[in-house]
Amino acid sequence: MFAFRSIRSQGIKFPPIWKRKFSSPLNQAQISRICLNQSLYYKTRNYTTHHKKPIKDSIDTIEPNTKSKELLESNQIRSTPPAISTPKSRKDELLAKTNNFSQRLYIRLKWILKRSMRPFNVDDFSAFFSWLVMGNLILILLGTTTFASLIIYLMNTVFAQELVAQTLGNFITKNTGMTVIFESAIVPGWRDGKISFNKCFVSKRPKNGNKNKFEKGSQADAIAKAASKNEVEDQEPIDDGNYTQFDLTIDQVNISLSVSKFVNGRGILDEVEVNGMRGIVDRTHVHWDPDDDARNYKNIHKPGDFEIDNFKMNDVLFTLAQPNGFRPFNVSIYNCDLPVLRKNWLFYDFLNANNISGAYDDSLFTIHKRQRINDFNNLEKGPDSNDLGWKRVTRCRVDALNVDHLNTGLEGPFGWITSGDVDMIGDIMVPEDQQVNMTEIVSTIADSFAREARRAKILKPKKNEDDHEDDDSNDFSKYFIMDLQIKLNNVKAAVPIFTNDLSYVNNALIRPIVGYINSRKTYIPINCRIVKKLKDFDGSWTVYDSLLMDDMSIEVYDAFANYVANEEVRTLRMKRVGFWTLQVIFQALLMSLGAIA
Amino acid sequence: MIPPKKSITPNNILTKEVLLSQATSSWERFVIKSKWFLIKGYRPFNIDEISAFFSWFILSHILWIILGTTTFFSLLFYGLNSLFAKELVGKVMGKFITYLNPSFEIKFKDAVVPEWEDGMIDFKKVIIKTVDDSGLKLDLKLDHLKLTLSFNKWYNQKGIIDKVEIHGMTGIIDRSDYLEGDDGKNEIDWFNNEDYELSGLKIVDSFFKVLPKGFTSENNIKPLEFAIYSCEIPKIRIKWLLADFFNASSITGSVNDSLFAIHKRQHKYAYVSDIEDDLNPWKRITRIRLDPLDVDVLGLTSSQFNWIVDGKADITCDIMSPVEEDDGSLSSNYIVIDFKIQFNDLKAKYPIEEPMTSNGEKLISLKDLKPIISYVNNKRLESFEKMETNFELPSLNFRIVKKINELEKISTLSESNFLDLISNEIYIDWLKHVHEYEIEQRNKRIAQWSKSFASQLLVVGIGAMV
Repeated sequence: MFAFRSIRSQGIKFPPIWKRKFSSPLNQAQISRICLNQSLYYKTRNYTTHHKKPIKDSIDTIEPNTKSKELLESNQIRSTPPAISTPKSRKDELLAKTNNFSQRLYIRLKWILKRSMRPFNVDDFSAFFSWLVMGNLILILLGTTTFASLIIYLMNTVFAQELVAQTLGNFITKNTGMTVIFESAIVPGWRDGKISFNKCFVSKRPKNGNKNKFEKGSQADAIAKAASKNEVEDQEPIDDGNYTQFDLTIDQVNISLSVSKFVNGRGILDEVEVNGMRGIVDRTHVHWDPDDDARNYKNIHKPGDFEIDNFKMNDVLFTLAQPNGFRPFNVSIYNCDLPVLRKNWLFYDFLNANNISGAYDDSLFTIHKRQRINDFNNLEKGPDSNDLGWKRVTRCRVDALNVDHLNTGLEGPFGWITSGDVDMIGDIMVPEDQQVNMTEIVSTIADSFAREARRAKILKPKKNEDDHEDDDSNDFSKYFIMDLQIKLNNVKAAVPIFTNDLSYVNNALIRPIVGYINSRKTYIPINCRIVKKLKDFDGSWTVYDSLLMDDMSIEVYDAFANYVANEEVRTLRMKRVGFWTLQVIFQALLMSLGAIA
Repeated sequence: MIPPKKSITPNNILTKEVLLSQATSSWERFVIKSKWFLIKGYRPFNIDEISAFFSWFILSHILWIILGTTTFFSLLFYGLNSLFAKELVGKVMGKFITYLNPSFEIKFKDAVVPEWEDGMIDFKKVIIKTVDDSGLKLDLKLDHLKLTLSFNKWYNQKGIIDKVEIHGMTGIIDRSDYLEGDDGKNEIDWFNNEDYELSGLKIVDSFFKVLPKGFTSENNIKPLEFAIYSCEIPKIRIKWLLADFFNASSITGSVNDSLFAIHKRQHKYAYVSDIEDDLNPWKRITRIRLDPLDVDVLGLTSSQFNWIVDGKADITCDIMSPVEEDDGSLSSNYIVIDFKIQFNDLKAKYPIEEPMTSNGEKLISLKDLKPIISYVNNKRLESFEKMETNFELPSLNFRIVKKINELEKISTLSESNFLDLISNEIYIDWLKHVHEYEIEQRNKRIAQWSKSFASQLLVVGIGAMV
């Protein structure tokens, strides 16, 4: 305020532009002129006079650059006789003639579309039609999520919610073979461009043929039904249920859709986020024929298998019930972030996660991406010293896992262990780009072939396995290489009773190995490197059907065999040394006795 | 109030039309229209108007800086980058950031100028070192340092940095020279600006060694090796460092090769109709899980537990800290922590001195300590007799409550008196276990005695009969 005053006292005209308008007095002639214009203006627009605003108000709000222009226009219309030649005036003319709203709307619309009043011809109609179709197509292609959410939103508000929920639920149920239930129909909220479903219930259980229908209901009802379902099931087993069954409740699912993916046969889902999942995954009904192979149940890739680009999970906790009467235990995932999740590479994509942390039967596990070979030794050497030529990509780590998760139904040393726990660290690696250490990689792969040969003896080759393999053994990108460190803590082992099908295991070594395991009070470290063909992961769901478990068993056996061999050599040496010392002492004793005597 | 001389003349409205109709080129028309828009006349600008334009120009820039600090800076970098040599810009940038945070020296290893990625400024290969010798020494190398800046924050004295993302950090945090002052000086005093605040910290794939107080290469104090696989903390205030750390949304990593995880505690119930509200009054319970870790790393062999020689401890705790309500007030004034501690393979020996708290108070008398030690050793013997491979003590469960105000200006666990509180509770719970164990033992002995007594009686009885 002080600044204002001082400027004014210097005689500089300070009042800003906006002030002038109010401070300048309007003379009577001006007012009357404006009033006249105003009334004319309204008359030409066919307004009744009582619609117009109070005069004083209109004076206050006059802005010379906008309203006066209109006033001028209306002035011109009045003063100059309407010329038929200009289309603009024709429109105004038509507008003036009409007297109800719908007609005016019609005229304006036609004017926008055609700039005349003649009826539409075939050309026009086809143009409109193609424009509509194209516009929608573009909308679909560009923003599938927006499009779908718009449709869902419109349907949700316009039609009964029941119907929408039923249709959508039926759609998903039919396409996935799962029962899907949304509480309170669906509430797609736009959270960062995603469609979100709240309070879902997803279930896969054996169903009677006619029951294969989506049901809408509250989540609580669905849970109650799932809980009571088991008894009914036993009476009429129509579906044998020989698959993984589950009942899961999900607090929130956020998805985004993409048609370009759908067209390319990669499923319509683009990004998925799952929050707050609870429930049970029931594998108790799963059973195998004696000669069956886990590989027979691998996924066979077909177009439309989902390939999710950015998969996230938070706060997941489910009870896993394994077959063969294994105790049920909890699996929780605190958070999980996968860059890609493909149905056909499900297990492999989980192994290559950006970040997963959780607990498996109360043992913490993590999977995370990393950049360095060694965490701490590099602090001194500097992060650039890569002595091996390998780049570690992902580290999987499990701490203090009860060993029974690894050895139920398994042959080999793992299977002989009766109690204890296991720490595992697996580093999935790729060769360093710049300095490919050819010899090492080749020898690693050659090594793996020897084991492959041993494995081939136990696992009958799959029938339709193509024979032309190994011709690209130098293409490292086709191999999966993992460094595995296993630490067996406080383990105890027992000699297996049935040793008839001890596949790769040399019968003679069982007892020494079991003896070795039991002789260790603290822990047994095992380090090994597993080389696998990437093809093994094609369509695999679990650690078993990718044969990773078998590879691990072989490596563990080899490590044990080595240990035992070393141990035997060492005990022999110890015995000899011990005997020698005893001899020396005895001789000394004798000599001294002789001296006394 | 003198009305200004330049009032709207009656023919002003027409002037524009007239001028427009007289104009020939589109440029002229543009000039007329824009002049009309700006000053509603067609005359040269006067000083007032030019100064108004100028101030508007400046103001809009300031507004822009305030509203979109990150965008502004990244455009600035981009501009500088295209004008000057990269090395120079890198150096200047480092100097500038050092100026903003005077306690650090920040270098850019390859003098790579930051890039702009997902709305964040991305520095590659950064080296951070501390300048002054206040005890804390940092020597960190970062693969990526991503920042967003906020003028609004800086204006409110909360530091200019808004969000931070750190990828691939390695380094050493050296606290070995740090001496605890007797005047109760906290580590927070090391920071110049105690109001510093980050509205998001993300750390991915990072490893660092912490050299604890009094660490030298000779003595057997172990350095702490921290690995952080992923860490997300929604809000960090220097003043409330420890409290904000307890509120982390998720941290996973390892300490000395034992995994740990901080996450939202999971309830086992399905998310049916706001069940969360029914379960507990706390909006969020943070769970910390620490896999077996050597007791000396945990600081459990210090003065509070001078009788523990070796062993491992497995810790789970649930932290219930008050949440900020919508009106800014806290829902309660207390932080509640539930503990479950399981000791494994514990070795104990009689100490010379009594266990003390950090400020020299006696925790437990040697007389009371004696049964605890014999309990531990007896249990050890029992498990050895049973040929058990590992020896676990029953887990200790207790709860501690602390006023939230006491956590202000506290940045490490050792500064808070948590360890004293915890050790006090551990002793109480342990004495309970010992008591139960003794009763159990006595019952066993009585049973044994009565058995032998009965058999003797029988023998005597038979002898009398004969």
